[in-house]
Amino acid sequence: MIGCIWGTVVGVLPGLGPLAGLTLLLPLTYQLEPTGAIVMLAGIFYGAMYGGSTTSILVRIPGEAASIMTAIDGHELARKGRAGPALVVAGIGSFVGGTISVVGLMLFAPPLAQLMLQIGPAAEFGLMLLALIVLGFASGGPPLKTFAMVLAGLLIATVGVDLITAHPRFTFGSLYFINGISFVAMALGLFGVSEILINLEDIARAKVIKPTLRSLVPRAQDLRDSTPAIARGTVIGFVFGFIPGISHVISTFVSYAVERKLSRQPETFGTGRIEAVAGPETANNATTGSAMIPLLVLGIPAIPATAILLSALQIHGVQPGPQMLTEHPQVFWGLIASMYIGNIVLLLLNLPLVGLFVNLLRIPYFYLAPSILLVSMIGIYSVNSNAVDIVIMAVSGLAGYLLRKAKFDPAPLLLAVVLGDRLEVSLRRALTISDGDWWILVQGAMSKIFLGAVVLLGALQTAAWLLGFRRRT
Amino acid sequence: MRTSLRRLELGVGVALLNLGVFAAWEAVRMPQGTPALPGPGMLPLGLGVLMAVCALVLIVVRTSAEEPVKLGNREVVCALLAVLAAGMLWERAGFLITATLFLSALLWILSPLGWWRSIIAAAAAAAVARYLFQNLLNVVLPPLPFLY
Repeated sequence: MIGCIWGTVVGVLPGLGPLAGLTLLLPLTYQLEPTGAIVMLAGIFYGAMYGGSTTSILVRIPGEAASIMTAIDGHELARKGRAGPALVVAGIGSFVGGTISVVGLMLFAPPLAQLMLQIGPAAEFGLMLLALIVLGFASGGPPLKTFAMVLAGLLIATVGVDLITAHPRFTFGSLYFINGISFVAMALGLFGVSEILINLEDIARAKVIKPTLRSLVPRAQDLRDSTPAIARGTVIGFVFGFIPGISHVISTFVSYAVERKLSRQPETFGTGRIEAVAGPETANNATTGSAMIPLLVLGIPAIPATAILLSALQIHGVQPGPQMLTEHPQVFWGLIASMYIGNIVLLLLNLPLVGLFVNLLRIPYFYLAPSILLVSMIGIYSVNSNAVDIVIMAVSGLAGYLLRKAKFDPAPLLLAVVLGDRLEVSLRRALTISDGDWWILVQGAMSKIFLGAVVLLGALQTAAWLLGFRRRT
Repeated sequence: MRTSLRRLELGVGVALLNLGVFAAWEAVRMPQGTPALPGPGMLPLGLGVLMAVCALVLIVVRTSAEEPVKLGNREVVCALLAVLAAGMLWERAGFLITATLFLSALLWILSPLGWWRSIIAAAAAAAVARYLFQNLLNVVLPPLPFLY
């Protein structure tokens, strides 16, 4: 319940997405047992997905990137006095998409985990490479910039004691760097602090449209129009959730495009169509279940927000991966059960309390920003009780701000930091097993599949970029 | 401050080049191991070299069009400096003093409150935050220095 409420709040507040919400509350879960902690954090994750739609519809300010498409027609509906139906349809779509994707998670995760138990270090190296390249493919920026971010992330991941020989690397004699650079401090700086800095450049107050409780009831026609869009959004969101990167954002764009394509009046999109709210909102929430599959089964976070969940699990002594289902079944199934309950809680919570959440937008940003920064500092300090983490957060905030201004996506950097250790350990173990023979990396069937996909995707991405670059110049 | 996207890209490229060269330079001094038993320096060395090459390509090619970029203002610089200063003061001055100074500075700069109202609001907010996090959520925060 706390996770869902906090998630909705961070989803509603512009500039605070699921990632910032998770990092802010992560340290406070240390007192809880692992299942409770991960359930609460997962609640924040999908709560933020729900909450983002409220501000998109009522103020045309997407609380987070995945709600951009909802803002277009959702706010037009609100301007026509139909904010209530738009909010209800978004809520129902989110509920349906979220619940069905949990069923998918339940069905797909166990067999995939069984399959993954059979892979060795060489195939694991291929899998890590594939995850990084798919991430680059999905991030949408020029491959060169994404590649630079991945390399920077992998380099940062090497800071600290070498996991195989215990040799210190880039520690400069400081005890602080022995365990590497705090991932949570970096994540909070790169995404949370940089977002606040960007918002501080333009502190403007938006006009809030406040719906009454009576106006929430949608017409029968609204429900008829939105039902097929919800069904399509569920499928699109679930499928896109598997793709590492910004799948929850891409799925909303694809859903909007599909609805427009299938519509008999595509020209009316953008003027307030209920399908244009139902589809993207459903897709957005349907990704939450499938984005958990790579995290829980492979230990690969599909999006930055699930990287925080990975970090939380590791802090609580649970290593996500194929063994998680056998070693920590209570965490896995507890999480799934909580996702069912969480979706119901969010539906019951969001609609009657929409007025209350919207009032949060009335708090001026010049009060909100210092409060968020202070809570971030408290949160980050409580992880290791070390004030250096606050300095790391500030430096990462500056780095994130500059990178985003220069149109570098910091998400690949963060995910490379998470995957860096596993990439290196699997490569070195594979080379040790093969007595230094690099061909081991392409010998197994799984290795061939993973590396083949790496080569194919890399070639496609580079070709697409070169073609676009040539056209521009 | 106003700059251009290309200039900003060049700056990031130079920073990444420095990072790559520095990482490779440091990694050379680490044990490299053998092909059968790779040492801790192998990956950082490879990554450092790749990073330097990638940064050089970024500097030469520069992927974006020429467009103006607004880079920071008084509020952004102050917020960033305030977080940095708070990080340095956090354990030396204790939570209450650091949080009061941090919030006072930001409220004074960002909000229409005057300096004395900012200080009062900041002190109250810091006390509430301390009670909430330390007493209710069991987060250990640094005490006031004279209470050591």
